[in-house]
Amino acid sequence: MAHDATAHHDDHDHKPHGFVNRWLYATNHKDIGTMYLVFSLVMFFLGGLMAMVIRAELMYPGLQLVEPEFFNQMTTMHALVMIFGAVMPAFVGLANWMVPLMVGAPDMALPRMNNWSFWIMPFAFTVLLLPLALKVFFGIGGGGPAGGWTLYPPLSLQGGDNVAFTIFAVHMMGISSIMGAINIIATILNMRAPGMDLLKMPVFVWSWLITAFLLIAVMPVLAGAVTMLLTDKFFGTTFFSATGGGDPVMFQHIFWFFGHPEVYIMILPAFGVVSEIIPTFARKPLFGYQAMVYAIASIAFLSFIVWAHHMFTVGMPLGGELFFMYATMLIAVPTGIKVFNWVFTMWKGSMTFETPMLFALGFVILFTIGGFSGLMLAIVPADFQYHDTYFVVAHFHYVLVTGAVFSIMAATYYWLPKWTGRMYNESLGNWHFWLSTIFVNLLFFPQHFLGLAGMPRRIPDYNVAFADWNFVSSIGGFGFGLSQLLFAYIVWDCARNKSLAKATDQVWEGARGLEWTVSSPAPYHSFVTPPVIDDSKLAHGDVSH
Amino acid sequence: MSDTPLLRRNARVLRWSLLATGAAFGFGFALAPFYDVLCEKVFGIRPSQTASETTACAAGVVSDRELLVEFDTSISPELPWRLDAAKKSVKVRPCEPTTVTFTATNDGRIALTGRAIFTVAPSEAAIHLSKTECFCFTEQELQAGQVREMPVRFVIDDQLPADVSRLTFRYVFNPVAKPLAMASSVAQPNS
Repeated sequence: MAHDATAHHDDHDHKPHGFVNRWLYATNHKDIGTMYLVFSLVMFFLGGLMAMVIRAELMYPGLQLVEPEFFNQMTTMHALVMIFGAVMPAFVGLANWMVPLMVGAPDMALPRMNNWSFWIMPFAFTVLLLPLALKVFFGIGGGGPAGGWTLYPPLSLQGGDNVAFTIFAVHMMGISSIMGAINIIATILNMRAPGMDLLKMPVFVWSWLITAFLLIAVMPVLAGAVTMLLTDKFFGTTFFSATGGGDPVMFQHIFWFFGHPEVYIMILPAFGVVSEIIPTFARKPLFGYQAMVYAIASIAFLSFIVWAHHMFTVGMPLGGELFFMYATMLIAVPTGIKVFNWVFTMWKGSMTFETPMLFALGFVILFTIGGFSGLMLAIVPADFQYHDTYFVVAHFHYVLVTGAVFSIMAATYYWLPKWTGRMYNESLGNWHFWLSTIFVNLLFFPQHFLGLAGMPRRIPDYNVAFADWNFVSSIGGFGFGLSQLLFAYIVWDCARNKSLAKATDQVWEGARGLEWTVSSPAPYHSFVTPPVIDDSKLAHGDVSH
Repeated sequence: MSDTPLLRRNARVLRWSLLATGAAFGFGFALAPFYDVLCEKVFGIRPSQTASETTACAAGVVSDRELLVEFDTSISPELPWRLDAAKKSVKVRPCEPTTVTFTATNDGRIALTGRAIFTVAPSEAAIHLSKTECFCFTEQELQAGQVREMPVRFVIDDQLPADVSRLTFRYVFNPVAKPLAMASSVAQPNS
């Protein structure tokens, strides 16, 4: 337990001294939030590296770089690492940092559980990545899971020992997510400052409250599904094996009962972030605050009754296909409310285009493209054509990369001055946005064409007819990947470079809300005494009703 | 806000959310039997293969509607067996009990246990089909070279949708998975 040599002798924050005390035993919501965000950035680059392998192999038709088996491991692990390692922990990190500051709480409700839910993550990912790492670095074993992140049996059960590693890793991530969710619910329900009524909370806090309920409802279902996989493989049960009266299609139903709410778990906090940023830079209150809250709740409810649209081609009865088609299309209504309300918030606003706003605007436009391709996929007869093609890949990368990931970057630029007390390099931030936006479209837009032309997903080789757009897509992929190094540099620079401009408490001219009333950087202990809530200074619209 | 101390309110949230987590975990497993019920009651697909008596045929054979039932068999590559139906197809009338004999032969050198999976096409017919005897209900153990004749007795009720006139019964024999497949999965290289 070495003494931290850089500790300030005039430190009034009473931070714990020493690396182990400060980080391993961390209970401070800001420290844990930082650890979540750093962890997620590391996983983002690891998952990105796997994506680079995929795009390098797909740059030309034919097999050039990797074995098909390894390619399949890359697609599987890329998805698992990005979903569970990058996007979800990033949002939990943002919640840890910002929710107590936004509701006027001194810390999270259950700080020790908070510590536990973070520290499970590195172990979960060690377990998940171990089979792949052993194969790549030491040539031991058969490598990581290769049956797709959806773990459909019987294919996923044919993977050898990595099956057990993957399943236990999923169990651990699930425990971590559930504990994080419980903590967020307890914080929001119990720790709000007096006067911070539920319908006065920032939309980001609302989005996380609803997301946390989704997590509690569906992560255990995933745990159940993978437990059944585990016993099917190692203990002779036949939940998903027809030889014992089970049904492999049942796995898909159980998995997507988790899986569809899961995609909203990854996008609802993004809606919250964008609903904070657009009012700030449009210098207008959020249009239709209550409608925004109810829209999030409606989307969350609908997410439970649309799961089978992921599996229209399994041979469901017509009545089932119609139900899931119409229910899926219904989601466009609350989502449309959100998109229109963001646009109305900007209407006649005094907009400026700092990096967070650029990413938020990019989100609104590009996420909506992903939403439209989602509507196309919801149409059953069309889906029979699109199913398992690159059109699906293009669709979910538009909603997850230019949706969820763009919103995380927007949130990082938006709150970074509050975290570090310094303004990041604005012109580099602009460069990062424009490079990312151009390359990400070069990367994913051609995949719509490939999918419509019939290129299947999860293959290392393809018909030469698909060669041109795959080449373009790969160039976009490398460009997008390299652009993210700039992001890492900007964040590191903002955290370390003492010559950068000091941030004011309010940071952004149009920023409203409690988090902008504390000093920048936010003190280690904030709102030890509850703040007085002044309705006119809250970030959103009709609080007076 | 209530006057209850914060710790107690936090403990309360912790309690009900852990309870909800446990319930959701149980719900995942409950989906397994629920899936069968939903298939049968809502969509008229019967995934289970147990013997069942139809009640819709109390009046006996009343229509002269003719149905063609075809038989299709296959064997998992891991099982050195043959399975043949005595006839490729039969003509039956609704509510008319019918028996067809299948013959299974073990061409391998050791005794093996297999289990047949039954499917019927179109799937809407499943709920209207009752089998009172089938080799697919139980595991079948065949000694090396053994030949076994196995009758399948079934009846199709008269509620079968009018647009169905051809049914296909399909049997697939699979080896019965040994409990604790761990040993075999360790022995097989992962490729």
